[in-house]
Amino acid sequence: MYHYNENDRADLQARRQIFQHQLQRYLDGKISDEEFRPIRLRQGLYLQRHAPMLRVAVPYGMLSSSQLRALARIARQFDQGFCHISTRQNVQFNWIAMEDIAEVLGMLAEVDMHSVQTSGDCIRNITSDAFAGVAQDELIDPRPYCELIRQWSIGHPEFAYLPRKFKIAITGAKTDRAMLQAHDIGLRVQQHSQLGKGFEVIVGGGLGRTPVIGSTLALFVPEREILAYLTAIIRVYNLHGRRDNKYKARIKILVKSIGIQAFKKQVDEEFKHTQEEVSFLSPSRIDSIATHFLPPPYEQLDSSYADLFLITLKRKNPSFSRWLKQNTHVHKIGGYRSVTLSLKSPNNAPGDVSTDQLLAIATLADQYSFGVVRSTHEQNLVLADVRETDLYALWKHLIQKDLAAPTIGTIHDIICCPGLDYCSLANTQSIPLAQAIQTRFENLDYVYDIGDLSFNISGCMNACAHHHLANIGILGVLKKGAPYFQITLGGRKGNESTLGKILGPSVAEHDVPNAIENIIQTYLSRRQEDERFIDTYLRVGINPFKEAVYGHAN
Amino acid sequence: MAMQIKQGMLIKDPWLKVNQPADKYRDYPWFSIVPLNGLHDKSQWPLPQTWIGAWFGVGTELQQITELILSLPLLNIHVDSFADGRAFSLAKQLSTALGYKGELRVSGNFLLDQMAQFKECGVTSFSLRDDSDFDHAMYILEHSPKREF
Ligand code: SF4
Repeated sequence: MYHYNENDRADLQARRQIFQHQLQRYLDGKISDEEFRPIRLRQGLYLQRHAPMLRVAVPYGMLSSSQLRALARIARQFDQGFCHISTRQNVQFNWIAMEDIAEVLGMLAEVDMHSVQTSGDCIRNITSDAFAGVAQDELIDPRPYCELIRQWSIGHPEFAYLPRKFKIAITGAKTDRAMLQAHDIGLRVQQHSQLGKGFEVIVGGGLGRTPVIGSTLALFVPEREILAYLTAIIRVYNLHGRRDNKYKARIKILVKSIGIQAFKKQVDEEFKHTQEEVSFLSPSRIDSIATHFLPPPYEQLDSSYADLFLITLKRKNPSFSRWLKQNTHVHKIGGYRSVTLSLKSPNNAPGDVSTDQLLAIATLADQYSFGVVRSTHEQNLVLADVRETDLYALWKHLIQKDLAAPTIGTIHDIICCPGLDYCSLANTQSIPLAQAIQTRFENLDYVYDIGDLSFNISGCMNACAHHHLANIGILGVLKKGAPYFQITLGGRKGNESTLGKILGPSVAEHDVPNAIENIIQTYLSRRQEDERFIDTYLRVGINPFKEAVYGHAN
Repeated sequence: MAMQIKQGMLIKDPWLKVNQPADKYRDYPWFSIVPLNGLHDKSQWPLPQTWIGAWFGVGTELQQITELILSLPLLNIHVDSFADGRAFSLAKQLSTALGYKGELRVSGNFLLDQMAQFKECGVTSFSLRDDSDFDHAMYILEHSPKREF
């Protein structure tokens, strides 16, 4: 993973000192709430229900074991003994007092972490594929580009006061696991036969109150021009995006209102200038960043031995076998697998991880996965490089720490925003509903029978849990002040990103598990052979599900 | 006389912002910063005064900044709301795409905390309200890290 150099540290230190100065001025009453607001937000500080919520940046989801230990210390000393993994791969603390913020930022800085640009109307933390560098279907490792764009966007002087927040995701794999089309800009790294490396550029995606699937703006932008091209896009947005209505201020609204072709014309025009002003990316710059992402010292392993080893264990131990199937993934290097540590145990709020777990994961990362952990937008953690022969021992450790729920990719693996329990924007709670669904579908054999299914719950229109892209999406709304939930079906992320369709009138909180059960039963009764939920839905359409929930299709 | 920060120094500001355009451009006192629409009558150019500047809002289109305007010694972007980040892109376009070499100034309701960002976008002077915290302004300019891009 990327290791800070002296310049990075000096930069972070300078930003932190300035923020401390600004914070002091605010605490001394020298600047108003209104003036402090953008400064505070750019530092990842939200005023939430209980205390400020501090969002810590996890650049493209990469965390070292020492960073995990620092997060654990902060959780223990300043929070209530846990933190939360967000759907943008970041870490959130919900209970840190304002007067402790400076000290917490200092503790983060000691391990090269910060909270800069994790909120506010600026370019946010860059996200990526949680399996970058290890996925079998990857063409080019996107992380050097993620890091480059991270460096370029941090403190970008021109784009610190955009019309609205701005999110960039990058992948280099055939399968899009980074939700490119749900981002303001999505970049797909590619290899061109003549022009070398470059990017497909997707623009104008986003969820929230007006969900839009992004469109391709350029099929190929050469690597050396990418920063100039990004500058052109974001400048056009900065100058022409709406500022009169924050619900219409994202780039997706601008692109939709003028059309992708007209938008492209403006970007191309601006690109003529930005090519002059932003220096071309030199190969040496990207090469020097890429040295941070060289493969770790993998051993040459005999996969057939590992296979035999696992087959024996699987036979002996069905629980291990289930976990192996659900929670581990093929690795590009023979003899290794990637392991998802589930943060979806029914005993915890989805995405929450305790001090004790953080410390254990840090030790396991050191022992089994080159000291690195990744956070996923599904709110889990990943040990990316585990020897197959270590899987059984790792599983045993994970069970002890309640991190081995063998339910990745199932109805239990619910992506869930913090909702009314923490978030001041929420309409409804999300966490108790997630727990109610997990309880309703308690029987794991039933869960496996249902199979692959994405299930996301957002507590309001802001759609932090990306419910529009879930096979079953739940959105909290208020009806005459009472919490209700709107159900959407058929959403998909990845290469065929599709927005889910609203099933019908929203349902009362206590009726949601029944409605979901009816939906699942409809799927099970209609599926053909091994069809997944989404495939049955696509084949039979929404009406049978409507009938099952409302008694009629209209 | 109000204060300005120019090239990193806090000094008295000789310039005065004029809000109303004059019919006859020669009536503008020296060191006036005149609204853009008070300078568009080409027949009154060249101006007899050497020291005249132009001010305009952050929504100004580049086409409105003509060659004549670019020949002035001072251009002033006036900010109504510090949240309106168009000011930064406009400054950048003036200093790069249009290649403006004179004094590029920001006035109005900006935050002192934004000064380093403006500077990086090509702004060379700031007009400050009398009640500004000048120490904080200087602190921001001196301590903000420089980017490598
Ligand atoms: S979706 Fe709404 S309720 Fe949930 S975290 Fe986002 S803003 Fe808060």
